[in-house]
Amino acid sequence: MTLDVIPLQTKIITPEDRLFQIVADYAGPHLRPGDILVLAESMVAITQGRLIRPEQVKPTPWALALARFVSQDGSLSSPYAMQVIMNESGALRTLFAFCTAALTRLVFGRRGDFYRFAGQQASLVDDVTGNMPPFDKHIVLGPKHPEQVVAETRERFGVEAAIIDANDLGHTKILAATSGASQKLLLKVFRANPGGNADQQTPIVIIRKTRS
Amino acid sequence: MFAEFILAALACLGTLAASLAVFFHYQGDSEITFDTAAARDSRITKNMPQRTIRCRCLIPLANRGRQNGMVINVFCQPMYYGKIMEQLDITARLRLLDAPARQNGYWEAVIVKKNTTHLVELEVTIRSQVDLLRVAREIPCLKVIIYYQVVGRDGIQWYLSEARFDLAG
Repeated sequence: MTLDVIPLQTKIITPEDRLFQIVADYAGPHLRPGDILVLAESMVAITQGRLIRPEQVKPTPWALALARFVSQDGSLSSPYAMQVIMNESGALRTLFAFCTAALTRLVFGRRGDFYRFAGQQASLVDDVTGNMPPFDKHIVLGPKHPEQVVAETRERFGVEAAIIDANDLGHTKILAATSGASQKLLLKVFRANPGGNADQQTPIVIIRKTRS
Repeated sequence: MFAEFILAALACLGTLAASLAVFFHYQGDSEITFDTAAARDSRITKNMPQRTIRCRCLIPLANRGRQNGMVINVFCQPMYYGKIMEQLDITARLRLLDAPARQNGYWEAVIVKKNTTHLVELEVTIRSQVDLLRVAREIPCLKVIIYYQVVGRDGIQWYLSEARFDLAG
């Protein structure tokens, strides 16, 4: 058994597009029974309109202060992205996550608790420059209700489906997958990020098992 | 007892606030500038029959701060020199040299890491309805204002730099 990994190039997806229409147009003609249809989380989020320009965000003193404690490798080092997460997850929850994470890091040397407590959106948000143009000037959040999206995708297209956040550093996060899509297989395939992370414009990937 | 507790709490809060202020001050922010004073490779090409002048130079985009910063938007605009401007069609565009080449002048948001410098090409094209000698006489030095938006630790800041081309030379 071998795997065919087929990245599909699309047009630039915008908030005006409808996700299932895009999938039908670009993936529909290629899909076969048994395939796994993988959607990039940023594409799903953008079609859900989950993006905002930093100029439209007014960071509170809390956001300005908390962002200063985040390494600049992370999106939340921007006070605007931090404020967006405070609006999304709740200011109190974000503050609680920050204080708890600071404590567990100091006492146990454990990292990543902020993202565990602040909620999934905190780890999915992409700050300005995190996306290809025309969204390079936007903060893009993670998609809403990914489980519902994959369930509806399976229902409409008759194949297993998943939403994945992958990057060129080998970090892969499965946001949601239907029961027949093996998480182990998805992680293995997306370690190499076949969809690319720059301007490849391939937000849909088909994984096909073939007999060799 | 209660007064002592309040006093101790206030002292703790004060110490915390002072520590944070010192930390933020020490941490600093990005300090990104279009260093037009250090512009180089300036080139002015005049095409007399076609009444066209092309100016080009390379401007360092430097971050001398203690933090990374992002340059999200950059706009450039020639200064207005009165009536002669009505007979000139001036287009100015900036291009980050290490970014993908684009013909449409779109500025893709870029992270400028601390202590790094990128090179930006400023290109100005003047198409004139009058002869170029008159243009040079009335505008011996063309100034181009560069407005740029930086996002750093402290939020969004707008800055301004001024590049100049000696058209009389």
